[in-house]
Amino acid sequence: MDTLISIDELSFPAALRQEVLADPTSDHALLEATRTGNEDAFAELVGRYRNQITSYIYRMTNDYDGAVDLAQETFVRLYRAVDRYQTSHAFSTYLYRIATNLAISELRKRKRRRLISLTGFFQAADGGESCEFDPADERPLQDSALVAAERSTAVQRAISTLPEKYRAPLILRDVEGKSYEEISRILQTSEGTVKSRISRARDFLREKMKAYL
Amino acid sequence: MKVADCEASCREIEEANVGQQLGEAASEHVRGCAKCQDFYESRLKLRQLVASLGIVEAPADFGFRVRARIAGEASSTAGFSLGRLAIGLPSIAVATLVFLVVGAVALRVWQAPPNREAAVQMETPSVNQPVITAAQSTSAAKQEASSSGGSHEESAANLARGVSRGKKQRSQVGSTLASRGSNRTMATRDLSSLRAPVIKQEDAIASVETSPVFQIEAPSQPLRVSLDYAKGGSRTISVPALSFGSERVLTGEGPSMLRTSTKGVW
Repeated sequence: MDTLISIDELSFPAALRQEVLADPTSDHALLEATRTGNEDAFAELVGRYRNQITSYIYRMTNDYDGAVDLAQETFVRLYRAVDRYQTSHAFSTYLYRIATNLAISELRKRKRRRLISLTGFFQAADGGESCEFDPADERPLQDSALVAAERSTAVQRAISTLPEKYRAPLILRDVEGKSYEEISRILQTSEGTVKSRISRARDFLREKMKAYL
Repeated sequence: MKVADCEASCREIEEANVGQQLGEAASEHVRGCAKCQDFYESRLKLRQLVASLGIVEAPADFGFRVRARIAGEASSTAGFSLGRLAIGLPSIAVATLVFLVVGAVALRVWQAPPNREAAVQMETPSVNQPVITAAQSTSAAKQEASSSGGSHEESAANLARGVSRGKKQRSQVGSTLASRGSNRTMATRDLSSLRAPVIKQEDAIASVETSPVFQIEAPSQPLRVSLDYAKGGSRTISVPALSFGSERVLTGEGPSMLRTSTKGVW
């Protein structure tokens, strides 16, 4: 499912790109206006991508407040580097790359901190990352909304146990719906590597989500 | 069922988008292969489950907080900026590097020995000095010989005077250089342009079968003795470095032996 986030994601020939820039509502045009000091254009870009970026970072870190903070940092970095931005790639690719780097950096920081928590007592049997203690609730569920909520939580938790190198491509592909080509550009790896990592991530997830499949 | 078909079908299942129909060949294979059918269904369920996560919304004041953060950063960096020119760590590093390079070059230029000036300084005293030619010295010697007869003691004194004059010249140049060196650091000077002491015929200390004998203070270096005749001819004889006692150097082998000595002196 290649959902088009903006018109810039289409790979236009060079001649057509000028037309895209001429469109005042395109991402590149807004960025160009930001470069000249137009604050409203930047606010428009923030409004356009804030939910996607926050959601993506939340899926990566499984921490809402931290995700909001990192999403803000993503836009601050974009603003700071607005002069260096090149229109050769889609704007969203650039933005997702910043967000990915920040999220991975945060995950590594957390690993270093090694906070003493309940998660430390429940390491995965295969020596992988820890999973939270979540005893099964034996009571009957009230309605389907609750079932869906519980399932979502379980999926999110399962994703957060994936190693970071598998986590990012899986989220970008199966949650964000990005194409393999775009994922490879965001993660700056080859398409083959992206495909194999996604496949491996699904295998991991399948093992963890057996109860729901 | 071929293994290759299974692999191709599984790859197509993996790479397909959610809800996308498989190709005809893959669909046919999946219908006939239980293993691939199972793989297809489990993958489809898993991807639907993951896709159901949906979008998490950012807080309503997200944009305001981003702008506040940018403004906060701008005000915090304003303390380090000079007008529109922001002075960051790289700028300071570059400025320091340039300063060091310029300083090093200036120091090197200031410490370099002024070769041309030194050459002029060394040549100046010899220009003003009275030059005693061999002819003049011979005629003067004849007059002195006729008037006083000349004794060996006087000759020795004259020779000593001549040698001490040479030393004086060198010491004068040395003091000149030392006085210059008080302002600047010492540098090597070429003293070969100095006039050598002139030894006249009457300076002979003895005479062996009508040949006069002269006394020359022999340094541990090769010498060049220039003999001037009254008729204007001259001849230069090179004397190798001589040694005495344990410092003996065989005649004609001096320079080569000296070359093999680590200190230059045996």
